[in-house]
Amino acid sequence: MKFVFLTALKTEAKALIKEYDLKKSKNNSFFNNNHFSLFITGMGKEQTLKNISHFLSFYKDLDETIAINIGIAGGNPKTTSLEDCYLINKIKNETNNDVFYPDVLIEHNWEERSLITTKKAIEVPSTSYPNIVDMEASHIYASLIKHLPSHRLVFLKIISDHMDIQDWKKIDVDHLITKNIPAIKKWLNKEEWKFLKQRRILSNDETKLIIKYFNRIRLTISQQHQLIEILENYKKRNNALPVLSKHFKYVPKLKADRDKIFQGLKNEFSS
Amino acid sequence: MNFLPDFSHIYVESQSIDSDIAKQSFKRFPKAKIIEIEDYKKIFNKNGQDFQIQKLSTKLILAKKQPPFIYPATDIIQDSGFSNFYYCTPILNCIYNCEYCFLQGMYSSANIVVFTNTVEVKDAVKKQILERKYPDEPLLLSLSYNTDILALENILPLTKQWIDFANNTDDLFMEIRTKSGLTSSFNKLKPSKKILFAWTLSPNNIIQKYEHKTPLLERRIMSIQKIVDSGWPVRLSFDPILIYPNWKEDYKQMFERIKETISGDKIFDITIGVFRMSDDFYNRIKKTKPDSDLFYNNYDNSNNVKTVTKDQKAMVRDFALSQLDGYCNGDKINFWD
Repeated sequence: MKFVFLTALKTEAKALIKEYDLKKSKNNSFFNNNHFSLFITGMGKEQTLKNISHFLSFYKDLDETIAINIGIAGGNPKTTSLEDCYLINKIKNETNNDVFYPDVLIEHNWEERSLITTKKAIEVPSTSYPNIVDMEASHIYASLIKHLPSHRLVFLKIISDHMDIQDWKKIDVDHLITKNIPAIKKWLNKEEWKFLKQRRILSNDETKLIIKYFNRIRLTISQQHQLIEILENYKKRNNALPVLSKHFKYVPKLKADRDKIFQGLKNEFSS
Repeated sequence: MNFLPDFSHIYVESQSIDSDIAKQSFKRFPKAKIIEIEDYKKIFNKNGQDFQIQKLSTKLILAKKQPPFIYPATDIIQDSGFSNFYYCTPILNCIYNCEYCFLQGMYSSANIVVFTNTVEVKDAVKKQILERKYPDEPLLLSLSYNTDILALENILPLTKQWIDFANNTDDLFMEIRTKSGLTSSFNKLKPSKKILFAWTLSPNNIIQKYEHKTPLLERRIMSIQKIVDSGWPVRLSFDPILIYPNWKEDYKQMFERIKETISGDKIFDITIGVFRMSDDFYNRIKKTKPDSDLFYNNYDNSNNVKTVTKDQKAMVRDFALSQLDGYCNGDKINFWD
């Protein structure tokens, strides 16, 4: 399983980069090291949407990735404690009233809270913000849910203030993140994450090889889909794919020849 | 494994939060996180769900049902000769996870929705009884088309409430389909001829391989024995009978065990069926690349229903009939066709 941390600020990223020994990649704001990586989304709606779109353009392992938005956030003094980390179970976008519910499946030791994503930082606590406020979570969820399922979107928020901050520079962001890293690390080490991968019948290597064969005999897209389904069925029934190479040696020159090969493959592997 | 227990979270619509069912649920799961929601569809129908992954830790959703409250039954479920056959959906989804179940194709979520406005639903049933097409016959209401309501009885005792309702409502006959072993709630109830318990039975090999979280055969048989001996009508449902290497051996053992433990004379009737699923549901499930081998077989496509071949259907029918020969009156055996 792979994990990508999404932070809004560089200062939020610093402790995670150090802990996981992440290296800067050629892609802007992206750091990685084997199974862990980190991407800095920027603050607020516009930056988040633009940067997440950039992230999706180069990140290739979405099928086996858990995205974790970690960051500091404001907390209602009645329901949150400073420096504590909370797992978010409901995200509301204050601007358009969209509401999202990330699946919470794996045991954890944090308390859970709901969160409201606001346009501006909230500097006065009120009943309108009963738990936690931030400026990115709903935009991250809305952008990523088109590419990742709900059970692979995680939101962890560390309370930096009680919506009463006067001087943002006085917040020791690095300390807040560093303090919570041991618990985060322990949680991500759980075996259960591997069950959340995208289910696949054909491995990546098998798919690549099959597509190479399909291209060689120039199957239509519809023919490719049909054969992939037939080969998936075959693999499930027999626990392995058939030997395919012999069927793709001859390169047909006419459509009719190609269709004949296709029909032959269909008949052979369907039964 | 350290997945959160089922019902670790209860999502409750604001308009249901003070309902009896919500109060019962909060009491039954005191450690559950209660999350208030506006509209259950925003969580139940949300994008990016995986039915089988959500089965690892199923959540409870409490909501107010909007009309329609009652539906005419489809061709896929057997009517067993009842002309006025309807179903209602007090609950969406099931605590069990049978690999051949259509629910995984019907809903994108595996979370369980319990509707809290039961009075409104019951009023709609009464209205439908008055408006039924064949007034000389009672209305048969299936309570468990989209769920196994009895399996939830030790969490929310809804079945008992529905039985009370049926007993106090003229011209209503109710069918409760189940695989559960929960019958203790009915020990104190007077048996009612208006309630038909339909127990689905399968060999243990099938239960262990395909009917996840359900009780083993012996537990189901014990429950049926108690219920039958008390005088409740019981339908035995062998549906679906699955075909695989040595299937006959497994089913033969099951039929023998049933014959030696449950008196055929006391059985209301028997239904038999094979694997079948609407094309839409089947294809939707197939797209999710399920682990179940049931979705990688070759099936016939008959009237937009994926099912086994005619020959296989005939083979199952002949086999089941031969096994049940002499067990009960042949007229009591119905085969889904």
